[in-house]
Amino acid sequence: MSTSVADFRPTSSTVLETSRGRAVALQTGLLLAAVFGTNAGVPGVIRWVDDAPLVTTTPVNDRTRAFLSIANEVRELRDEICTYGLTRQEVARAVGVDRRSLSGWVSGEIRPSADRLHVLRLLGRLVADIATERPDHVRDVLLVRRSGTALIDRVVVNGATLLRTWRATARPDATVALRAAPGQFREPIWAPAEAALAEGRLTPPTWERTMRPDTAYEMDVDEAGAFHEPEPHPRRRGYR
Amino acid sequence: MIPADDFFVANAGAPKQGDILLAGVARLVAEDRFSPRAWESLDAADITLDLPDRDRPLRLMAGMALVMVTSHDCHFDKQWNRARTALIEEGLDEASANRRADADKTLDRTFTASPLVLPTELSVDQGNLMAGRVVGYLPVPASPDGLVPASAVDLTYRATLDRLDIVRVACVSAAARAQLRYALARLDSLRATSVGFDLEAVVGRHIERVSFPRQHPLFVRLHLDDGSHVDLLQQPAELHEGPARTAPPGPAA
Repeated sequence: MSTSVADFRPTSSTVLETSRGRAVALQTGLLLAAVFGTNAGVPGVIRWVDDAPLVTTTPVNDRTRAFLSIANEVRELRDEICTYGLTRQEVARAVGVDRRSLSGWVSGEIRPSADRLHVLRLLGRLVADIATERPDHVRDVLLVRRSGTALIDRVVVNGATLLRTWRATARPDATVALRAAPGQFREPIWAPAEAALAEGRLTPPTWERTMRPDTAYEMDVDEAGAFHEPEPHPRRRGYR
Repeated sequence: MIPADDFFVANAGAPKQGDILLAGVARLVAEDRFSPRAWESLDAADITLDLPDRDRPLRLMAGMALVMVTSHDCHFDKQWNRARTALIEEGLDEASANRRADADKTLDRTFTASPLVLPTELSVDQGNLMAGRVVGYLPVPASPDGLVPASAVDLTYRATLDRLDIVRVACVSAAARAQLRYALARLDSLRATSVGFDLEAVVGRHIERVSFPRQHPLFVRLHLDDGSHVDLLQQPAELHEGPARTAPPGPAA
């Protein structure tokens, strides 16, 4: 439930201290008047509002302060995430906006939607979670493509789920033991080619592309009859 | 075996089936690290990977090798052609579609190849091997420039490689590619030892005409004089190439 600040006519106020140390006035009397037409004879007004914290009763000047507070939170989150090696561009990519929008959030020129702010907070938690287990590989874990999609591009859609599942999608730490295999006594057959490569006589193939019709890449497995192999003649059983 | 002068051609152009490359190869092995004798020269490194979510480690043998490309030419541009077609269907003109497809770094760059091994390391009759009569192997003559020794492509070892991580040593002729395709087909799919016969003599009818069914482009349809027909599968062949263009070299990813 919410109400418009412009229509708000306070009849009584209760000042609360928020977790960020900011005073917020809950002018509950007018709120109930706005909703029910009167606040007369309605007990437990303050408690009722306490149970419905989404009701906004902040005066306009406090709204501005709240706006700036969001900007500060975005800045703190962005900078914290960037300390793990992500660029601002990548933070914006993870949240699903362009870098200019993210800068606008930080400067206070643009107010992020609740959904985007939620995604940014999730990203902050995800990055911190990854950093706990793989402190030097946060960016690698987020950017490596597994099954075609990088983790960073799934935060918007699967942010909450990723907090539980990122380990399965990230490249696992592998312990590698390497040793020369036995039996390498003779010069390998690729040695002359290796020498030619060192002398600059060999190069990679070029990148020419050849346009081909779609039919070059289509098939119909119903045509597989041409490859049918006759079943071996079944051996009779019971007779010798 | 095809003589070297007819087997090798100028080293140029985009990657093609039959190209001989210098590349790394790897394969998974069991705990006892069994390796066929012919592959011991390919197994320069013995790698054990202890993965955190797996009770048993993965074991690999890896090393450098001369390899022959086994993927068909079409494969190298498969996803590029698909992407290009999709972009044109979305309304882009051909030039823009080509540019967008060229810039797409997600398109597949992988292909398969098989290593060359020395004939003396294979436990088969050397004469039959180098005459191309042993299924699973393709004889390769020594190249005039000395970079490729007389050897055999071991088609039973197939490694997946990245187009950005190879160096080409030699290109082969169309005749050599035809032998490779036949050897691949004989190894992987065709078990008939003879593919040619006098069809008219067998069916006892005269072949009046030949057509290519539109709905089955791989078939050759033989129409017999009694009104019946016989469908034959076309032999593998070079596809007619469309117009080619050169894309800017992609940065090593």
